[in-house]
Amino acid sequence: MYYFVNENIFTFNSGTEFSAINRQQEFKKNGMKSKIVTRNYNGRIHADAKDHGLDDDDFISMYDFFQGTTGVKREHNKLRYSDIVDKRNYHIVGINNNSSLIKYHGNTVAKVEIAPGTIGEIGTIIYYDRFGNETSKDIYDSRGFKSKTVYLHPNGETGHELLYDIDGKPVMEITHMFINGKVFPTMYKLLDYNGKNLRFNTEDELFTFFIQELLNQKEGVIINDRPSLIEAIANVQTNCHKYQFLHGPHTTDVNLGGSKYGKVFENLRPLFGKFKSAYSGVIVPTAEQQSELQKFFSNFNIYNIADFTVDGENFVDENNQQTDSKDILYIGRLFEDRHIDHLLKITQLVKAEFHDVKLHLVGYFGSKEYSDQIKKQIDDMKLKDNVIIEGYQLGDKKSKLYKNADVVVSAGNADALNISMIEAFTYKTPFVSYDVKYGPKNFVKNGKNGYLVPQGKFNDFAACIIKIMQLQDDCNDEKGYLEAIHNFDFHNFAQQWAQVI
Amino acid sequence: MNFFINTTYNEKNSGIEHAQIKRAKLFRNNKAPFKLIFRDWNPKEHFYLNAADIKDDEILNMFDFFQKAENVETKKNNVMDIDFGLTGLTYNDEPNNNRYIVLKDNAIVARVRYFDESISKDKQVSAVEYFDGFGNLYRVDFYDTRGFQSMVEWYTPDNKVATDVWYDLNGKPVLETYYRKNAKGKMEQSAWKIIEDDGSIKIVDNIDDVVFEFLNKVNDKYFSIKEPNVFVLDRTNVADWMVPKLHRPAYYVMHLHNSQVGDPQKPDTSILNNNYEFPLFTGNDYDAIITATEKQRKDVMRRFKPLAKVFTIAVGIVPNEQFDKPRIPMSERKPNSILATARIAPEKQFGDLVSAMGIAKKEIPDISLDLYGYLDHSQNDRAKKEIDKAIKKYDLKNQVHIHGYTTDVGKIQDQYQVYGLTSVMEGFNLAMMEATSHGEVGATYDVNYGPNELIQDGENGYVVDYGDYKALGEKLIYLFKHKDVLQKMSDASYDLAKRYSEESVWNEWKSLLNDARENWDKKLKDYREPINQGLNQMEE
Repeated sequence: MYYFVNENIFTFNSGTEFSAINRQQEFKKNGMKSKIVTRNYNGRIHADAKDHGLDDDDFISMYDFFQGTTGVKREHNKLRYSDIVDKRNYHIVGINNNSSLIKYHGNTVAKVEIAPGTIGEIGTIIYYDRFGNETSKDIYDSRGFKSKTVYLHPNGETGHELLYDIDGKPVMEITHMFINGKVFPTMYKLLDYNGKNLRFNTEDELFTFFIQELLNQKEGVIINDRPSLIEAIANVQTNCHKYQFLHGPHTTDVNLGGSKYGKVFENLRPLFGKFKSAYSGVIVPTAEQQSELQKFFSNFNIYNIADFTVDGENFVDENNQQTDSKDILYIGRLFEDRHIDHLLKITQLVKAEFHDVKLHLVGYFGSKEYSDQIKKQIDDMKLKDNVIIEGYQLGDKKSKLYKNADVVVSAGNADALNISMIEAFTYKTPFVSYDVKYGPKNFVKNGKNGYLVPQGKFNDFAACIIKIMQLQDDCNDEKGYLEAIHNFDFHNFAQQWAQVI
Repeated sequence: MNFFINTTYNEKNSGIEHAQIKRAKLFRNNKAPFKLIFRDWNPKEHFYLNAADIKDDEILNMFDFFQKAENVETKKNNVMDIDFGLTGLTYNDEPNNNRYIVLKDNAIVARVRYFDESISKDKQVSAVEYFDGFGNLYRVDFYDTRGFQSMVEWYTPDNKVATDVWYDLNGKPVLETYYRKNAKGKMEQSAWKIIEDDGSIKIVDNIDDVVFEFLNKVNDKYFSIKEPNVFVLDRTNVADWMVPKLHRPAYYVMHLHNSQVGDPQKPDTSILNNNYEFPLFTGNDYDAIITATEKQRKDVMRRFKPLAKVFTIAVGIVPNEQFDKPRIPMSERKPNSILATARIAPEKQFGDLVSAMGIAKKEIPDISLDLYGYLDHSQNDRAKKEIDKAIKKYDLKNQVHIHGYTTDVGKIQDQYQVYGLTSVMEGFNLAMMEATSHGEVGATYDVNYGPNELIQDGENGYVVDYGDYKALGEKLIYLFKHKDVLQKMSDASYDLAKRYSEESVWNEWKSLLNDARENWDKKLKDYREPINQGLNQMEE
């Protein structure tokens, strides 16, 4: 059994989760037993996983495990048909599609928030007191059962949480109290777990115990995808092998990845320091990063295994270059380090040539502030008609975007691989990016499958895009794409993974 | 089913609880089903009620009901039975504080309190104060004397209670209340949540609403078309506004345990007793009103002209075995002796009784008074000061004896001749009834309600005008000078006590229960069950 350790399968995921999801699907195809293992509480995890093409047996979430609900199937739990509200004494007053109020003798005693993406299914119920304070909240699992109650401190901060099994019996209690004068979770307590209570000071301690329980049930190899879980995994007492998968560069300046002047990221230092002996090795997605790391950690096993696999011999779909519209696609996190502002400036330059050019921004913003900043910039630059904020997209919508794009772009300073690059190639869509380590630099071939541009050279970047848009033949040779995606062919997948056992 | 509604039951109780216990036994002996309903959360309630010979299935505490803990086999938890979820703990007993300190690596894990020896000699756990790994007290669990975790207080980081939760025996929360600041910044209970087994949730403002929900559930659970549930409100404040509003019909009874007015000397005009103001204003919502004496019944009828039926049912019951005991003649008792058993409190006016005795002393030099009861120190020890003043005035230092509270009242009552009473007002006066059943002769003011009925003037004692202690003194002289009259009146006391025999009082109850049954069909006819078809089908 392989355990792919992660924080969560979110509603909106980053490359780290996409990599793990892709790996899980490929393992399954190859008949290799594996599961994604997650730490965070997520009452929607079964719905989110389904949205990302995973089945219930493809993952196991820690809270689900301790709640004994991993095998629970989805059932409807529509507010209007639910037993939760005694309709002889309470009124349900619909506010909009997302929420309803519960009223008693004219007073609001609760608010029901409908589960996102559903029609009328209960998501969260917030209870009020007679002064209008929130007192507690019931969180419903996307499969239709009450998963936990969050009790609030009088000042509105989270007080304690109670998690239930499918019969409503409490199985875990989380306490939120002071640590140095600030409210944090201070205790995770399993109740009547195999007949005993068990107390943990942190969620990571609980997670360590959880992994041990999984290994006790079925031994396996642990692949940790998250630097934040390095310590929790290191603390797992087992003879099973543990590997850390790095989905990003290892030095703060990626260009110094192979230099003795390179500064290893703070969160990775324990991996190469005090927890080194707990791990059997580190996995990186490119040979270049592997050799850089190996140079400095000669007695540590460093492996190169693809971060993302595709059919390396066939395109998913043919790029639709016949359309008149000019579309630039960015797909990825909308975070500051991805330099969305650069993409706006580049688009403005392209606009001089193609007035109707569209930049499609696909993904989720890192913060409200960043979202506001980018939107303001779009207005200021008069790009309102040229930039489309598409939001997070999956499935057919995403395929269509790749297929219709003239070019897929990235303006980040570093990439361990860059999944959008590989995906673009599978649609025979050119990829233009800064000439940065590791993925773009290694797999983009100028004029064949896209262009590499020196960092910060907006004019050069725009010129490459214009060139692709103007010249039918530019970057239009199948070979240039197939050569690149062959590196990520799932036919090699099992072999690659055979290294780490 | 018959329900008697009260707040709580403790080690020490007042007359209402005593009356309820006596009634409970009367119902039990006559095979009439009943439950004593208590509103308040009280982890020792079953212990004290069991000690008063009330059985678990005769008790219906509201919190027990929600917790499904009405009948729980007692388990005496020791500190070692508490699972802290940790290993390698140290337990330090602090017997002076009735608690253990539980430590791990010198850091506090919990303080475990145990019941004192009056409850259990086994260091049975009464409460557990839990600390997290960062030294915060985050919750306190309270245990019932029957051994289950009954209520949990959840704390805020700054050490105030944020939430109280009651769990069922499987650890599921069933009832919660929250503490929040009101508009003036003061913490108070701001809401209650009831969580049902079927997952339905009710949010209400205060404990009254919880009681209403509870009584509705009780009424539903025991509902029968054969006979009504009878709700006797022994403490009206628990549920008076819920009369007659329960969803299904029931038979409601207001029980006047005390005078309905503030000044019982003026029953037609006096301000109402605060406990009975709301019930009397809504008196026609009840099916029946119970008064403890006939005199009170007449006063209530005359002043309020209620449409509810008014029954007189004695709140005291003289047990059958008392009638079987041999009568003790006056000659075998302490000569010229007076007894009083009551709280020594200002409203009992014992100064008047001592003064009456002082007047009698001129003629009966060896007259004596023995007082048994708690000393009430209210109003700056007024009760004791008034007694002392009278003792001094009449030089009675060696003739008035103040004893503490006694539990063996019956034995004492057999030793004295006259029972004296000079209080402001009474609801009934159980002690005086017991005294007459032990053959004591009464000497009392004309006090509403009870004394002027328990004592029939000239038959088993004397009733003098209210406040006329001189007249009372004369009566004492007469009684102690005429041994034959004293003996004759003692015989009458024994005889008149039959008014309060189990049989007599049960007959009074029977007439009320009959009334409930006779009117049940009429009530049922006007009642409609709610719609319960077609409401839960799910659209595909």
